[in-house]
Amino acid sequence: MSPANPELLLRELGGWDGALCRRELPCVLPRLISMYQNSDDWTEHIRVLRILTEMFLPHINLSELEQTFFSKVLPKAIQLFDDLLYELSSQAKGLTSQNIELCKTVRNVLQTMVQLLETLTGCVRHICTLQEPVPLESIRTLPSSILYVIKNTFMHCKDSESLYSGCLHLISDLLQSLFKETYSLQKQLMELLDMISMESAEDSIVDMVSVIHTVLEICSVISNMDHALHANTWKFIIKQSLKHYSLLQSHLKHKDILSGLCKDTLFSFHSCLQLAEQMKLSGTQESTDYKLFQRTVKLCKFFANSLVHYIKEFIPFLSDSCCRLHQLYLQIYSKFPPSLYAPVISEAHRDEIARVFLVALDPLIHQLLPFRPFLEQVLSEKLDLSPELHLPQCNLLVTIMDKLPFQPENVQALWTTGSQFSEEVPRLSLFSALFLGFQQCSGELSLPVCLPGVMDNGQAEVPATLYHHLCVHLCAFIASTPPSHFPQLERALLDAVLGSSMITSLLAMDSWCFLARYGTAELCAHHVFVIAHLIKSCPGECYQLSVLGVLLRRMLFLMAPDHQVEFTQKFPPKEAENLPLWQHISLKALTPDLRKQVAHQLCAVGLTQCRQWLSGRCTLGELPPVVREGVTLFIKSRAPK
Amino acid sequence: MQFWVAWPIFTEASCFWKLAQSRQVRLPSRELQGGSTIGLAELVRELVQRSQGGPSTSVQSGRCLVLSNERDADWAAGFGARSGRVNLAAGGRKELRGDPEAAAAPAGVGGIMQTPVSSAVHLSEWQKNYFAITSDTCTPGQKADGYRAQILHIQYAWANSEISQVCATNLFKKYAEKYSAIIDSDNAETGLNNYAENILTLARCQQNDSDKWQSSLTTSNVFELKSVQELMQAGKKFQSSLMAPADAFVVVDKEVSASVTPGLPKLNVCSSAVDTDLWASSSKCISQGPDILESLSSLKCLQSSVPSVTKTTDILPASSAFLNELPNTGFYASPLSGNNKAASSSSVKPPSHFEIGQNLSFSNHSSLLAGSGNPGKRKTFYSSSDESNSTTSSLASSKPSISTEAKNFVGSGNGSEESNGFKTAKEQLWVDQQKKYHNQPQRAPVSSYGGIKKSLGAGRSRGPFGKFVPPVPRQDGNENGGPQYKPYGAGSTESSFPVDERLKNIEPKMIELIMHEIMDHGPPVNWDDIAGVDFAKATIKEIVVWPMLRPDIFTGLRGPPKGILLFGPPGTGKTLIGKCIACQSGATFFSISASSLTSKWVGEGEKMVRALFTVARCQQPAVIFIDEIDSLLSQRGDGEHESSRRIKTEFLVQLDGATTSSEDRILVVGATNRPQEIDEAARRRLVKRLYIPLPEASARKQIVTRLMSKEHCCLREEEVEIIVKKSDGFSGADMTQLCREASLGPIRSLQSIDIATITPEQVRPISFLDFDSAFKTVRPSVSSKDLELYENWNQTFGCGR
Repeated sequence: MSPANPELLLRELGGWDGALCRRELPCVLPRLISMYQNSDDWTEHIRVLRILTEMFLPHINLSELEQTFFSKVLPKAIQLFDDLLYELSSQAKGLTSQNIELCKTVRNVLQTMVQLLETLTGCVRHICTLQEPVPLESIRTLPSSILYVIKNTFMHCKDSESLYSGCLHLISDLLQSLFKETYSLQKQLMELLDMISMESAEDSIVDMVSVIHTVLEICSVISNMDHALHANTWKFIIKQSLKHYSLLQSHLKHKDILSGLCKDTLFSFHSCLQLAEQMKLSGTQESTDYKLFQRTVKLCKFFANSLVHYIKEFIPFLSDSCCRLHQLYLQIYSKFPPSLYAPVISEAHRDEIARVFLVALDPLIHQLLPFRPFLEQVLSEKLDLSPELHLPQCNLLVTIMDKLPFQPENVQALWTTGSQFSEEVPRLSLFSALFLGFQQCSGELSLPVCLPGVMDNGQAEVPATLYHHLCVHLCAFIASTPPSHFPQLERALLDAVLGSSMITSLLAMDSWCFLARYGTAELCAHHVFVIAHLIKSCPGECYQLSVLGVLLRRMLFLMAPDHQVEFTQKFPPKEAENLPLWQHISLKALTPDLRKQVAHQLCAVGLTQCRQWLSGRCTLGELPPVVREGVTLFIKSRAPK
Repeated sequence: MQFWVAWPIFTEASCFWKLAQSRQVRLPSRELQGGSTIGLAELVRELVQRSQGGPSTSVQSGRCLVLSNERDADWAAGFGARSGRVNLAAGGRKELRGDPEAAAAPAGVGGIMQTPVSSAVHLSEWQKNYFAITSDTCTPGQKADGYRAQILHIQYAWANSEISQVCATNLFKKYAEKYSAIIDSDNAETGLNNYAENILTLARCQQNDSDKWQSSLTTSNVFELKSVQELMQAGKKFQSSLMAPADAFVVVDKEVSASVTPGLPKLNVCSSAVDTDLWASSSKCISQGPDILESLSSLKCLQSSVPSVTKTTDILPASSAFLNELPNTGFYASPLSGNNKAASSSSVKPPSHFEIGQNLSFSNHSSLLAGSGNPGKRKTFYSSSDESNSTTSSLASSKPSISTEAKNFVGSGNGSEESNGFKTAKEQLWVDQQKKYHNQPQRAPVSSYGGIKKSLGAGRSRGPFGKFVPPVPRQDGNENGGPQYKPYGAGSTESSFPVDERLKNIEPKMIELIMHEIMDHGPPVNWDDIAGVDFAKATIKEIVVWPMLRPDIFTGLRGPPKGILLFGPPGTGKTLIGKCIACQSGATFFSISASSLTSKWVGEGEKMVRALFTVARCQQPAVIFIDEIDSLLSQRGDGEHESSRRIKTEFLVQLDGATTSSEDRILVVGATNRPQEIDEAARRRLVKRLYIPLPEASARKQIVTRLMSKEHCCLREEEVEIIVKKSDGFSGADMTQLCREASLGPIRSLQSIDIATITPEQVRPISFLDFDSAFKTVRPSVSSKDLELYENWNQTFGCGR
C-alpha cells in the first residue's frame, strides 16, 4: 500500500496525518529506519530523521521506545554528528574570507548541525511531554548520545576562536545559533532526566552514573562560557546525585565531582577579585562592571552552597577529598584581605564578598569539623604549606577553635588530642598546630597584619593585630576547654613556651597567664610549682630557661598569698640550691611580710656563699654561683619596700 | 651569665655621659632624662648618624663607642645587617612580591657603618616602636604591640645570627618583662587585663568548667616532654661549655691587681660586680623608704661598721661579710680591696649616702680611682684604651658636684627595670602608684574575693559583678573588697577605643548608663534550664535564634520579627526565656524596666529610649528585653502624663518606624502578665505573641527533681508524682516556693534548743511529709479566673496553639 520507492514514500508521508501515521506505524517504521540507516547524504539523513521524530515517535509505545527507535536511530545520528564535526575541523583550517566556496561549505555543515540539534531537541521534548514517569531503561541510549552531542558541540564552540582564528566573523552567527540550540537541548535533557524514574537494576545505575559523570565533564568545558548555564549544570549534578542518593552514592566519583566544584569555586572567586581589582584600579564606579561583579559573587555563593550541600550528603565518601577542601579554604583566604597576597580591592567590594560568599562558605567548616580525615588533614604534621597559606591556616584554626566548643565532647577530643597511637595518621593537637601556624606567619606578624577585633561593649570593632586576634581567640577557647582536655592544653602550652620562637613563647605565656587567672588558685599554684621545679633542675643557663623564668615571674604575681607562702616553703630562699630559681622572681610579687622575710633569707645565704668563695681559692670556675648571689642581692634591693 | 642584665645599664649610661659631656653631642633633654631606657643600640646609632652628618663630632668617636661593648656592637650591627632580610620577612613581602631577587639579597654583614638606607629604615622602625612604648599618649594596646614588635626584631636578629644567643635572651627577658607588666595589669590606663574583656565576650555562651581543671603535669612526668628534655640538654651544654675555659681556675686576686694594665685576659666578673654596685645604689636612691631604713636599723651594728670599713684599707673577707648584710653595700668591691687598695677605697662607697644624705663627701680622688678601676676592667675586654680614658674623665668630671654623680647613677639604673630608676616627678608618681597596686592584693582581705581564689571563672557565679576578677584589685575602692567591684568595662575602655560613629550624637553619659545599668552579662542560661513550655521554646528557636546565627539564610520574608511578646501568669519563666534568647543567639542583651527609662530622667526618657536603640544597633545582634512591658507601653489615653506618652511614642517609632532598617538585627522581647493593657500599636509591633502557660505536670516534675537534687532529701519516684499531681495550678515560682517551704520542714521539726548545737549532718533529709505540710501553706498564686483571661487573650491575639 505504501510506495516501495523511498523517495515516493517520503513524499507521500508529507501528507499523512496523525491517525494515519499511527495506523501505518508497524509497517512504515521499519522501512523508514532502514532507509535512514542507509542514507549517506546529510540532507536526506536529516529529513528522514525529522520525519521519524516528528511523525512517528509520538505513536511509539513508551515500553518499546528503546527497542524499536532509540537503539536504531541514535547511533546513526551520532555518526552523522561526528562526520559533521570532522568535516568542520578539517575545513576550518583553510577558511579565509577570499575562499567563498569553502566558506559556503562550512556554513552548510554548520547549518546541518543546527538542524540535527533541533531534531534531537524535538525528540527529547516529546518524551518530556509524556506526563508519566519514564523509566530509565526505556530511553537508555538517549541521554548518553545526547550528552555526547552536547559536550562536543560546546567544546567546538569553546575552541572556535582558535579553530577559525581570523575568520570567526564569517560564521559567528551560525556558531551563535549552534550554541543556543545546544543550550536548549541541554535544558531539555535535564528536564527529562528530572522526570525519569530509576530502579535498582545494575544497568540503570551504571547508566545514570555515566550520565552524571558526562555532565561533570560538560561542566568543566563550559566553566567560563556562561554563568547561568554553568550554575544550572552544577545544580543538575547535585540534584541528581541527591535524588538517587541511595542508588548512586557508592558509585559516583565523588572526588572528581568535589574537585570540580572546588576548582570552579576558586575560579569564580578569582574572577570576582579580578573584577574588584580592576574597578579599584580604574577608579570608576561603572555599573556594568559592578553588576558583573555582583553576579560573579553570587555565582561564588552558589558554588559555596552547593559545596556545603554536597558535603553534607556525601561526607562519608569524601575522605580523600579533604586535602582538596582544605586547600580550597586556604587558597580563598590567601587571596582575600587582610592576607598579604590579596589584590588591592575597595572596602565595599571586600565586604560584599565577605557578606555574600564567605558567609556561605562558613558552614563548610562546621560540617567538616566532626570528620576525622579532615582533621587529620588540617592538623597533619607534614603540612608543607607555601608562605601565602600560613595566615589562612591560622585563620582556619581560629575558626575551628571558635566553633569547637559547640561540638560534642568526642569531636572536641579528636581535635585537642594529637595522635596517640602509632597506627594513627600522625597529627598535632589543635593547640600545637595553632602555635606552629602562628610561628610561621612571620611576615604577617612583623607588618603587622590587622584582623577584625572582637565587638565589645558598644565600641566599634577595632582592628587587632594578628597576635592580639590569635591570643583572644585562643584564650576564649581555653576558657571553654572541658576538664578532660586540659592535660593536652597544658602540654601544648609548655611546649610552646619552650619552643625556639620568641613570639610564640610570648603567646603561650600570655595564654598561660590568662589560664592562671581563669582557673582555680590551686591550679595556678600547681603550675608555678612545676615551672619552678623545672627551672631548679635545669643544669645550666640557656635561652629556654630564661623564658621559663619570665613565665615564673609573671605567674607568681597571680598566685594567692597563701600559695606564695607555700612556695617559699617548697623552695626556701635560704637554701643555696634554690638561688638560681629565686633570681628569676620579682619580690614585688610577694606580700610585704613575705617579701621582707625572703629578702632577709636571700641576703643571708648570698653572704654565706660569698664568704665561702672568698675563703676558698677565689677561682673563676667557682664564680657562677657567686654571680648568682649578686643578682639575688639585686632583686632584694630592687624590691620596693 | 646573669651580669649581662646589669651590664647594658652601666655601659649605656657611661657612653651616654661621655658623649653628652665630652663630645658635645647635643641630645634633646627628653632623651637625656628618659633616654637611658632607649636600647643602647639605638642611642649609638643615633650618635653615629649624627657624627657622620655633623662636622662637629668625629666619626671616630662613634666607632669607638660602638666597639666599646661587644654586645651592643653586635646588636647594633644586627640592625644594619638584618634590615635587608627583615624587609623580606616583614614589610618586604608585599612590595617585593614581584622582585624576589632584590629581597633575597641581604645587606652584607659588616660593622655598624653599612648600607645606610636599609639600616635607616630599620632604625626608624625601631624608633617608632620605642616611642610607642615610652609615650604617654599611646594606649596600652599600642604599647603591647610595640613591645611585641621589638621582641620580633630581636628574634629575627637572633635567627640571622646577628646577635648572640645570650644577647637575644637578655633582650628578650628585658622586653618580655616590660610587656607582661602591661598585659597582666588590670589598671585601665596602663594595662590590658589579659584581654579579658574580649575573651569573655567571645566565651560568653560557652560552658565554664575551669573549676574542674586538673593539671596532669607533675614534677616527675614533666621531664618526659620532649621540649623539657631539650631544655635540659641545652642547660647541660651550657654547663659544660662553662667549665671548658682554661682560666676557670685562675685565681681572681691576681687579675684584679693587674687590672690596671690593659690587654689582660677577660674578667667579666669584676665589672659585673661594679655594675651591681652602681646599680644597687642607684636603684636605692629611688626605692628607698621607711622600710629600708627600718631594715637597716635592724642591722644597726652592721651599719655602724660601715664607716670603719670605708676607712680601713685592709679589709678581711670576714669583715666584708658583715657588710654584706646591708642590702646594697659595695660588697663586691670588698674582695677587690683585699689586694688593691686604690680600688677598695673607691668601691666601698657607702651606698647609704644616698639615703642619709650626709655621707656624700667622698674624695675626688677615690671616685677617680673608681672610674679608672671599673671601666678599666671592662676595657680589658675590648682592648680599646682610649675609650677607658674618656670614660674615666667623664666620670671624673662629673665628680665635683655630688648631685651629678647621683644623676649618673640614676641614669644607669633607669635602663633595665621598669619601675626603678630615676624618673621625672610624673613618672615617679606613676611608679608609686604601680607599687601601691602591686602591693595591694596581698593586703586586701582574702575573704573579699570569695575565698582564696583569684580566679576569673572557676567556681564563681558570674553575676553582674563577677565578670573578671583581676589578680590584683584596682587602686580605687578596693579597700572594701570585691563586691562593689564593677565589671571593668565601658568607663575605662571608652577613653581608649574609638566610639562608634552612630553614637556620636548621643550624650556619653547616657551611653555609659546603658552600658552599665542596662546591658546585662548574666550567667549563661540554657534552654534546658527552662522546664516545660516546649512550644514557646521551639517557636523562639525558629524565629529568633536561628536567624541570629545564620543571617544569610534568614533574609527577606524569612527575616526575623522585630518583636516578641511573652505573656502569661506570673512566675512562669518569661524572664528566663528572655535571658536564654540573648545567651543562645550570642546577642547582646539589654534588660530594661520601665523605671530605668522613666523615673530617673524626667523629660529625658525618650532620649534614653533612642540612646538605647542606638547602642543596640551598634551592638547587633542585640536583644532588648523589657520586663513588665505593660507599664511602659500601656494604652495611650487622655489622662496620661505628657512625658510617659512621649516615651511610648519614641519607643514605637524606634521599634518600627521611618528610621529603622529591615537589616537591623534587633529584637525586642517584652514580658508581661497583663497583655490586655498593652497599647494596640505596640501589640502590632510585637508580632509574635507567645503564651507562656503554667507549667504542665512534666515540667513541674522537672522543677521538683532539679531543685531537690541539690538538697539532702529522700523522695521516692511515686512521692514525686504525688507532689506533681497535687501541685496542679502552681506556677514555676509557686513550685520553687513549695520546695523552699518543704526544705524548712526538717529544721522546724528540731527542738528550738537544738538549733544552736546541731551539726549539719544531723538535719534529717527532706521527706514527703514536709511537702505534705508545705501544701497546707503554699497556695497557687494564679487564680483560674486569671488563667481564663490569659486563655482568652491568647485566643484573640496570641500565635500559639
